[in-house]
Amino acid sequence: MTLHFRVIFNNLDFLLEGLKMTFYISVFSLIIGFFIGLVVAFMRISKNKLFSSIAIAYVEFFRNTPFLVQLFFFYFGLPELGISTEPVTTAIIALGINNAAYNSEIIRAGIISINKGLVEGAESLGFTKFQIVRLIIIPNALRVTFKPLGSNFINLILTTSVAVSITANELMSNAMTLSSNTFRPFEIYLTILVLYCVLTFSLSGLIHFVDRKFISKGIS
Amino acid sequence: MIQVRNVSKSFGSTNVLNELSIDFDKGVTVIMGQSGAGKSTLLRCINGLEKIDGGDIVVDGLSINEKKNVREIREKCSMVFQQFNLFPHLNVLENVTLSPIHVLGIEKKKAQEKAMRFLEMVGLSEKIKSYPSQLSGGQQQRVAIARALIMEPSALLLDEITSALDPEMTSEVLEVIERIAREGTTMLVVTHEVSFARRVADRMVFLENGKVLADQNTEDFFSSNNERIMRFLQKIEFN
Repeated sequence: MTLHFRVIFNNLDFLLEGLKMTFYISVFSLIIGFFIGLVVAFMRISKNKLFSSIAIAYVEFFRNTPFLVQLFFFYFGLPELGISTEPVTTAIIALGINNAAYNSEIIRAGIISINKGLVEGAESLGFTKFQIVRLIIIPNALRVTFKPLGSNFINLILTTSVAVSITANELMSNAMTLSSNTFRPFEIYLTILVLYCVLTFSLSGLIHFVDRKFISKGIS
Repeated sequence: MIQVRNVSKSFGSTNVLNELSIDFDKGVTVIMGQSGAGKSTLLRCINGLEKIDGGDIVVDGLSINEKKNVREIREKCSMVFQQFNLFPHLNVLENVTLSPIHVLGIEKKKAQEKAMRFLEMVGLSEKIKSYPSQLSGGQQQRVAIARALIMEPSALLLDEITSALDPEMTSEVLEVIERIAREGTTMLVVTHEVSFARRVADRMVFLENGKVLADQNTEDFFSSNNERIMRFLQKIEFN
């Protein structure tokens, strides 16, 4: 077998465009996944039975069903109800909602791990409940969960490739298009494997760096 | 200033405070008693960290039974804990300025200037950029004291603040407290440090089984011929 990597160089722009889209989808679903995850985490530990039940149902449902099916439901199922969105938007929403279920469990663990004395210390100074959540609980919960949330984000980036199934024009979609046009699957898929790896490996390095340099400061 | 009226508090079936009544005025009051006598619980009730089951606590005319008063009472009675309870994600200066900025609404710059005065008072003006985990226990406790003082409370509640410290750190913390006491700060101090109590207290209170067993000026307390108190002091000084 002879390898023809020329096909890669000739179509590099097309692949990089896909990589850009992968990045775009990842960032927006990260934002959605983080904020929904944060809200769901607080709902789950809430004393309000209604809130905690909704949160549990949400988390268990999205963690116990395949992402591909969720994505198909959003893309092919919801239009039946008149809710139809573009492939990229659908991918962002589906990934965000799915990722939020995992994030919320991590953040919840972070909140639970906070020392009760820390909250009492804040209470005794006269902070309101809301201030304690905003100024003490959230920053500390995120500090201890920064790295697990980071690995969840990396997982999210890798999962964006599933969006090929609704042709979201991200890296995997473009690679597949290229492969069927050029009949060079080996070179093409090997290349994008390397691209995914470079992207996530450097990101995980960045996460560790930021954690060591800024986040873990003060953790005893 | 602080009136405790027939206060009861129990945890499960254990009665910790038994219709306890006592007033606290200006000056330093040291509260002693065996473990479980209700000393810490009394301070925590005054601060609203524990809800009282019966009776009333009134601080500067505000009853703690009115829910809306609790935060104001906490501003008036700053508490320092055995375990410091500093904010681990903030450096020393931020630890001290967080409550004046967010609770009292003081401008950040003014709060920092004010914080520097109190950090100087506790001897930590060199450490303002350090995080709690980078400090010794004694230093952390002195930050906690500055954090309580910056609220300019009517009374400072000190709950066994040296119990988690080794002797050297204990004396560095107690020195700071003595200095603050001499400036006329009103304090309620729960401690087992007898010689410290002797030096700093204007008034000694001895609790037993959730009741006030003795309430005397310091000299009378330490020369007391009450058998229960003598036995307690002997034991504690023997240690």
